[in-house]
Amino acid sequence: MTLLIDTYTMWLREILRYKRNWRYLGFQFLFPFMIIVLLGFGFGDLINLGQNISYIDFISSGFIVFMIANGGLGGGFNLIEERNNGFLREVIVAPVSRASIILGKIAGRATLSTAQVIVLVLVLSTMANLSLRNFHITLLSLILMTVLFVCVGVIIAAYFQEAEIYRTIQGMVVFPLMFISGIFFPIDRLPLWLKWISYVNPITYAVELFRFSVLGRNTLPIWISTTLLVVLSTSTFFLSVWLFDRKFRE
Amino acid sequence: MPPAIILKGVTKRFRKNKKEFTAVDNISLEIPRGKIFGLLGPNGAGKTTTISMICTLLTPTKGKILLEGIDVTKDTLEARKRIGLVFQETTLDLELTGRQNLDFHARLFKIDNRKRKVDEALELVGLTKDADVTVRQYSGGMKRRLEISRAIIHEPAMILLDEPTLGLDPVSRRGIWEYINMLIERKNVTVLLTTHYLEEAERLCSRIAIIDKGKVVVQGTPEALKAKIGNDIIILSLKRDDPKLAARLREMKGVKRVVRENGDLFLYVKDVDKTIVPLMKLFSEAQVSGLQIKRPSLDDVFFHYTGHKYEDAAEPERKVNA
Ligand SMILES: Nc1ncnc2c1ncn2[C@@H]1O[C@H](COP(=O)(O)OP(=O)(O)O)[C@@H](O)[C@H]1O
Ligand SMILES: [Mg+2]
Repeated sequence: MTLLIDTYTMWLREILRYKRNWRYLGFQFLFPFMIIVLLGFGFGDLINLGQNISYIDFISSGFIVFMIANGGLGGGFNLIEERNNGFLREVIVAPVSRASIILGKIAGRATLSTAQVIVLVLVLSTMANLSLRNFHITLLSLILMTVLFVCVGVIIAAYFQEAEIYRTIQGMVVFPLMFISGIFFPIDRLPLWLKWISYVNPITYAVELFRFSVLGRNTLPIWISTTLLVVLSTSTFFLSVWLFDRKFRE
Repeated sequence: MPPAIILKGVTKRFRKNKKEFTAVDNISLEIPRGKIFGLLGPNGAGKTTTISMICTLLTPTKGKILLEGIDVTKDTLEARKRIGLVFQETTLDLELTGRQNLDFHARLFKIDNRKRKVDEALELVGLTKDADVTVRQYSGGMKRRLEISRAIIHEPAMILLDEPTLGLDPVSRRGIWEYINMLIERKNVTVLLTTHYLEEAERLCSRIAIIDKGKVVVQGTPEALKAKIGNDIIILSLKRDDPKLAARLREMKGVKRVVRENGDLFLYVKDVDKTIVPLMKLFSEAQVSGLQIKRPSLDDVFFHYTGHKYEDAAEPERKVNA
């Protein structure tokens, strides 16, 4: 019970911060929309996917995953900032469980992502085949992704103090993984060795599940993607809580 | 009544520049209830490290800390509920308003009548008018006042303040002192503050412990500490060094100690009024170029117990986030 109350408190602050920062908020909706339109219509003709699917359908469902994943990592980045500007101490010495601190970050991110997904899918549905008809699965994949990426962010933040290093890791490890996860190109077009990497890449399964929910397309059985994501996100969650208690105090 | 805070043999070691470094070295203290207790020491003495261990931000390498009998490393959550904190560097959320910062804190501590308590806290430190302005726009003094009000909103039994007036101008500093005194008058709370300002410790604290290089050098009331090293000091500026004169002065009644430093003689005497006249007879105008009478300060207490001057003891200022 107290876990829920504390999570709510942490969530409330995240929401207040979003509300005060309307410029950031506007950008969060505008930027993905611009990219999707640019890639989908600008480059769409260069990439022929066949199988009666247009590139705008493909990239819009994929790029939303990119956006959610990136936002989740931003939650971890946020912890580095909060540690450096001192605020994190206020939370660390409060009588609240460590899990609620991370859950609050996840909940805040998930709220923003949900709003982004609803708005983007509704707007894009006028120009592509996306829809919210499987909204429960959309929501499930969104939550699992947010848990996974916020916690990966926390784990990275636990080991690195500087924002620059964090961004380097994001650029050198996470972005390449996103490129071979089926966000921008179908996996079956990749060379064999990259295909294998993409199958051990958790983002692949997030893309699978999300694309299935908004587009009704999948290349792997859905239960496999779902199970893998559930297992991965819960284990990274527990790892991040454990690390948070050990690494953020000293 | 048992002490509010007990430290028993508390030690903290860090790895610093690839070497073991003892920041707090076997400190034992008892901090009595309902008073303002000061930890006084130069930069790098280990004050922040000590506060951080008491408030559970750091775990001691060795030793035990009890808050009203609660072991802070064992019953961490219970200990946290009893403490109100003001850190050396701000821990406010600059993007939120003053009121939102307090409300967040009140929720974290799950206090009843949250809205009323927040209003009262703002009123107490005179921030009602600016309550709905983002903290980013607050002055340094306003931020510190907000942090003080936040520290007491959950009615903690003890309030820890780490360098509460660091970086403030003299007027704001005096204001903060008033609020700290008010804390003690209003409720039966214990205040533990650290400072590297001698004047602050002297004005504010009913008891102090002087720490240097991680060790408690001496503790007591400021008056007692000063009285212990001699009630007054007479400084004789000599025209040239004169060991014989120093020896004769040492023999005099009422002189506790004579220290020679750079051609000056420091006489620690019990009562300057009784010593000054017989003293005059011991030297001639030819020997002495000046005479000064000084009541001892905590500066002198520090020098007396550590053998080095207070202003030389500080580590070079570490870079802190603005
Ligand atoms: N996390 C840390 N790692 C290594 N050394 C530290 C750490 N924190 C403090 N120190 C060192 O411990 C000593 C005491 O620091 P501190 O407690 O901040 O002193 P004060 O607050 O009295 O100025 C300093 O020499 C400081 O450099
Ligand atoms: Mg300090």
